[in-house]
Amino acid sequence: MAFAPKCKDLPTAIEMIWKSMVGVPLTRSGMRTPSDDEEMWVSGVVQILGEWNGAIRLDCSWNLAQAVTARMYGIELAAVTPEVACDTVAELANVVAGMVKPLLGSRSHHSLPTVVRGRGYDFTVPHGRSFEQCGFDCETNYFSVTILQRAKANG
Amino acid sequence: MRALVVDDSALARFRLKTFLNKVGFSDIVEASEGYEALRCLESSHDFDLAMVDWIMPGMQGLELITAIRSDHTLDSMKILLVTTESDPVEVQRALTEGADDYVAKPCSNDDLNQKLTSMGLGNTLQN
Repeated sequence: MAFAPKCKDLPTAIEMIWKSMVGVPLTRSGMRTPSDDEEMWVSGVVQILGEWNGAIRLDCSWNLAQAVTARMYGIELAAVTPEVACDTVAELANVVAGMVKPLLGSRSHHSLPTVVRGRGYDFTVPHGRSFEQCGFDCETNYFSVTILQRAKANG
Repeated sequence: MRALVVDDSALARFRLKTFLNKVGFSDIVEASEGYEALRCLESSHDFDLAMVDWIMPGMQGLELITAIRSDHTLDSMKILLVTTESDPVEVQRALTEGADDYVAKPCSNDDLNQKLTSMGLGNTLQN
């Protein structure tokens, strides 16, 4: 059994996931992250461990997280709770990690997703550097995906 | 028909449950990890299908599949692995342990129905 990556690059992977799960068109844009402004953001993070080590980080404006959650559940925006919106971002990050992992060309495992919510924050993995990143506009909102590579083993 | 959906993500369970309703499953039980799924299966053996995620807190998908296949009262229940895990070695392990088939997330309703059809459980998708 052989699995070829479903896509060639990170932006294409994100567009495929968004089309399949959310059903809303995306426009590629510049990078915006939670540290760039004072709006509320939510981030889903999945660590990748094995031959390749690092993390996949999906940063999403809180407005977009709520809007996407409402759309995917077919409910009103007002009915979206923080818990459910965070679960949505976690699952999106999880699916992104699953699709990106084969692109990294190594045997690795990924963790359960972790979610961070707040304003003006930043985070990375120890010895981490940005390996690849891309930003998108989705209707009037935005999100970005960053692949963080851990430069060396840490204990 | 009865199905058990096992995934730690509420969104993933919602999406799978919505799909199963559209292909005629009348009774769908949800579990957020393997131990909870086993408790559901201990109380009822007449599930036609289990859709199982791989990476979950508590008991993970592979352990759950192994546990299910060690209980011969559940032999007739099909197991579809629905997961972000795409490592061919890992997926082959799951199939060897007793999963009937595998589908990678993100998956469309058509992808899922194709898998169910190959397992004898598919149906016309209803809007």
